[in-house]
Amino acid sequence: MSASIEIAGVSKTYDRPGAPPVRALTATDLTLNEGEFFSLVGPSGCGKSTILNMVAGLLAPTGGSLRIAGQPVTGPNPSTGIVFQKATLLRWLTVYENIVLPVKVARPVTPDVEVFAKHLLELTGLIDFKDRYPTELSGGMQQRAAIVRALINDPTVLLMDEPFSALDEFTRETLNDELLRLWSERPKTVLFITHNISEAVYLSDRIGVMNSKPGRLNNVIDVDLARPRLPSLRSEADYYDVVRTVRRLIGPMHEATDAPAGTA
Amino acid sequence: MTTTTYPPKAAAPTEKSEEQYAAIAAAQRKAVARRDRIRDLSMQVGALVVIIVLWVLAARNAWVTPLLLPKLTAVLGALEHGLIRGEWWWHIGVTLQETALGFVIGVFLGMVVGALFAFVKPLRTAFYPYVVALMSFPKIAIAPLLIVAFGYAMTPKVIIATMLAFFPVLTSASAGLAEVNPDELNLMKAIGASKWQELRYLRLPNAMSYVFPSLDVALIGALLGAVAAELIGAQAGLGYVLSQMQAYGDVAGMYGVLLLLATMGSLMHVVIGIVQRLLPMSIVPRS
Repeated sequence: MSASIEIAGVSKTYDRPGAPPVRALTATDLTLNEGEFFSLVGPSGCGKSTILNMVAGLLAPTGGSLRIAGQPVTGPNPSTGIVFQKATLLRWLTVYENIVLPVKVARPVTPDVEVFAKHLLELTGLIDFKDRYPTELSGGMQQRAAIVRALINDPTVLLMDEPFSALDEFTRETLNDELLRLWSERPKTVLFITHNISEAVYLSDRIGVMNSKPGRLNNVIDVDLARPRLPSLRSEADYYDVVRTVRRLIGPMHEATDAPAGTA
Repeated sequence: MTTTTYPPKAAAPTEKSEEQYAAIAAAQRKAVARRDRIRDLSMQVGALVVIIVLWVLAARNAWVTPLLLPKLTAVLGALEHGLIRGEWWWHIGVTLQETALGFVIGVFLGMVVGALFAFVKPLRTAFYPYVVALMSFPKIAIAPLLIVAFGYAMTPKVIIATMLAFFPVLTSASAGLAEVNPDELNLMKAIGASKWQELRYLRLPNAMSYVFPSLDVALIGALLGAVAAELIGAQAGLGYVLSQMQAYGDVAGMYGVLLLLATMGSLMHVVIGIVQRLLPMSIVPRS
C-alpha cells in the first residue's frame, strides 16, 4: 500500500497579539495509506481540525511538511474533497447547482459531470430534491448534499470535519452507513474528524487518538473489524472492545487536563 | 431486563413515506399560516374602526381644536374633490416621477458606493465617518439652497429624494458585500474559487439579501424627500398642494393629502414585498 497523505513533523502555533502564542498542535507524524479510512478523535482543542485544515490547504503549518500523493500541499486542491461540520450550502443555489459548484469554478459542467452528479444524488436519495433550495431540506439531507458536493470531482482524498456532529443519533447512523457505501463504491483515502468514539470505530481502518493542551497525537489504533461493516456490528462485543480501548486512551488524560488549575 | 414492544403484535400497515409526512406537515403549516393571516387582518380592520370612531367623536365633541383635527366628512369631501374630480392626479404624477427618479438614482449610487466601500478598505476608512455625518443631518435643510441653484422645477426634489434613497442602500450594500458567512468563504477557498468567482457566487447574491429589504426604506425615503422638497418651493406635486392648502387654512384638504401620501407609502411597501416574493431565490435569497 502506498502513502496517500504524509504528515511529517507538522506543527501549528497561533500568534496572539498581546498574549502568549497558542500551540494548537505539537510536531506530529502521521502517514495515511491509499484507500484508508482514518479517523482522528479527541476532545475540543486537541488540534484535530487544525490537522484537517492544513491537509486541505486552508491553513499553513508553522513547521514540518505535508504531502498528498507525493506532492507538497501548497493550497486547496481539486482532487481533495472536503465536508465541513455545517453543510454550508449556498442558499441562493439549488441542490444541484450547489453540488456542481466545485466543477463550475474550474471548468464547464460537461454531460459526464451531469451523469456523475445524478448518480451520486441517486445513491444518497437526493435525486427528487435536486431542484429544491437548501433551506427546504432537513439537516440530514443538507449534509448528504454537502457530501455529494465533496465527491463531485471524484477526489482521491476526502476530508471530513465532524460532518455528522450536528445531526441526531439515528440520522448520524444512517449517514455513517451511506458514507461507507459511497466509500466502498469508489475507494479513496478518508481523513475523518469526530469527537464521537463509536462513530470513529464503526467507520475506520485506523483511529488516531489526540489530546489537548497542547494539541497532540498520542496513539494510533488498528480497528480489526471485518468489512463490510453492517448496522448489526453496532451491538457486537468486538466492536465494544475497540470502543472501550479508544475511550480508555482518551479518558484519564483528558480528565487530568480538565482539572482546574491549582487543585493539584 | 424485559422489553415490551408497542403496539403489541404487528403495527397497522399505515406506514407513510418521509415525503408523505413532509407533504402533510406543509399542508398543516399552510393552514396555520392562513388562520394567522385572517386573524391579523381582522385585528387590523378592528383597529381602523377604533381610530375612525375616536376621530369622529373627538371632532364632533371638539376634544381637539378643529385647527388640528378636521371633521372626517370634510376630509372625505376634500378627497372626493381631489381624487374623483381629478384635481390632484397631475400633482400625484409629478411627485411619483420625482420619487421614481430619486429612487433609481439613489439605489444605483448606493450600490456603487457601497461596493467601493466594501472592496476598497482605505476609501471606507477615510470617508465613512463623513458619510455617517451626512446621514445624520436633515437633508431637507439644503432644499432652499438647491432651489436657489436649480429653480422651482423637478431637479431639487429629485436630488433630495436621491439622498434619502441613497443612504439605506449604501449601508446595506456595503454590509452585504463585506459581511459574508466565514464558513461560506472557507468553502469558496476550499473549492479553489477565484476572487471573481467568490464575488459572482457568494458576495453578490449575499448582498442582494441585504439590499432588498433596504429598497423598501429607500422608496419610502424617496417619496418623503420629494414631498418635503416640494413643501419648500414648487409649482407642482403633492407637497405643493399641501403648501397651498396650508396658506388657505384648508386643514381638511391637508388631511386628505396626508391620507393619500400614507396610502401611497403603504402601497409602495406592499408592491416591494410582492416583487421580492415573486423574484426567484437565485436573485433574492431568503433564509
